[in-house]
Amino acid sequence: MSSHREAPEISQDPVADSADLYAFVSPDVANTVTLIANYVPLQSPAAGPNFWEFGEDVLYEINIDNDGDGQPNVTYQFRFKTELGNNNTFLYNTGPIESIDSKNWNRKQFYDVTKVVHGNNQASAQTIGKHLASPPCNIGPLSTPNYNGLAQQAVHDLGGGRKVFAGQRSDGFYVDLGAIFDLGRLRPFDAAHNNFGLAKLVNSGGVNATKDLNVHTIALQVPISDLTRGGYNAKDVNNPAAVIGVWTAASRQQVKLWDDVKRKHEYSGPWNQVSRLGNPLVNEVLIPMSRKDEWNRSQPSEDKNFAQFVTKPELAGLLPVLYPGAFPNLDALNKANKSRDDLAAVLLTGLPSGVVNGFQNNTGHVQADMLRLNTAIPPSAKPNILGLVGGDPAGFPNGRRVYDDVVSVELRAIAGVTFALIDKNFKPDAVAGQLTDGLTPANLNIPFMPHFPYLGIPHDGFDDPAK
Amino acid sequence: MTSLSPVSRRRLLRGALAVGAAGVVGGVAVEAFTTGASAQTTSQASGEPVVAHVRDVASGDIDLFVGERLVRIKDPQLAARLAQAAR
Repeated sequence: MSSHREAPEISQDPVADSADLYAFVSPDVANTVTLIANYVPLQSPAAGPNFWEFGEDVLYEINIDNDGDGQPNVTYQFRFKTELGNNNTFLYNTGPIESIDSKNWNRKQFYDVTKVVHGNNQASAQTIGKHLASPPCNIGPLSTPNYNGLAQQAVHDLGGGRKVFAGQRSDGFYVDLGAIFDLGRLRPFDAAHNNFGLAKLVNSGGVNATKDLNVHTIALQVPISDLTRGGYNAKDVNNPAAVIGVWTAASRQQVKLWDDVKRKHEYSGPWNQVSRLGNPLVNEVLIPMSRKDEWNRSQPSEDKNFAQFVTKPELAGLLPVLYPGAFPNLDALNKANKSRDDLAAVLLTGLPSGVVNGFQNNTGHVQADMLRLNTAIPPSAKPNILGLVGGDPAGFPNGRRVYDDVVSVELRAIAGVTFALIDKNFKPDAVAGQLTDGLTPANLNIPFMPHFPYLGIPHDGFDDPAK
Repeated sequence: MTSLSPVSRRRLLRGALAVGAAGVVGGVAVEAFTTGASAQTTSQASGEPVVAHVRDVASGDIDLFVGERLVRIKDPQLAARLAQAAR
């Protein structure tokens, strides 16, 4: 999955587990960028009596680099507090929750938003939102009868065209997790799998592992000029100042101890990063298991230490083995031991001008896993879920929209489609340009929204208990 | 009774100090704070617990966690007293 439970340690810590990151020029609000960071993945909607929530003990951050050094120039920090309204009930709610300040809702979460601007030798922090309410989880028709209305009450105006939302959403990342981690199966291509000598497989459609699951979302919409170098907000695609790099991170304080007098955990010490996410699937698919925890704790500016796993991806070597005869050109490329500089460009530096006509999202020579967005490229009138490889420069890897098919794009890139961009003599295998796990946004049970926060309303526990 | 190797005993001791020292170290470590560290006024005035992690008893490397800060000190005498107290 994009980054759900992708590393051993963070798989044990869901509230700090960054699952997906999106960054795109808002299609419905001119001159703004929307940033979405998802946490607490794989939520079963029927989760009472203690429904899902953000971690009070976690520092959530969305970072923006606008000068290409892999270090943040702007950081938005989010800290949550939980408040109990009724000490005498075991219930999350004691009646229908019809407004966000309902007295029937017993366990509420509130959060502060702090904007940190990093200078050369110092940083300045400003609280831009205080004690903002998250919506409740979507429990069922009696408890949350008008969920969409509740969620809209939790969209907070921060002034100056800025808005924020933090709460439960339907997971919009569609992926056939069950097939992919069953030894690299792609159901539409199962008949070509080597099947390890077991029973012959047959082709079928993909199965979306997240179609009934929820996630917790932090969504922020701000003017482009809040994020770019020098406040750049013009339409010159080739201007380096138009490009930002985005990643999300979660941190925990260094010490956690059980106070047996207070009978609760106490926390102290500096914040230490335990999770991060820029481009989808990088830690998930490219970084070996032995180094995934280390990757989560490191900064994008240190990613040259992991570049070998991008330029020599294990999966590129596996594809010709798992699908014998399907990838002869990729196999030859692998055996020639050529560095996959195409993947390094897409994931670690951004594509420079001249590779794809009229497009660039390059941030310079520093190798850093960041979701790079050229803010001068307007939203597409006819989006293609395959983004740039589908001829739509407003989509992944130019940022990432909620509906982008990042699984297919990255499969195709690893299979060699993007190598042809840097080596005109390389011909990708015919199947490389068709690779998919067989899913599209049509495989979601709840549709995306055309406006902020864009991800669909969460599944409710009554109608969509775990299936 | 199972005897512990020196290494595992040291790890056990470090673990015990890290878990058990909150609220205690504030009293024990006053001398060290007054002679070396600069953080005690803030931490003690605010009443926050202090957690000590004796990284190495012999060298006296101790990490003190308070609020959102780490104070790293080197005090072999204090480390030895904490190790003694934890026996």
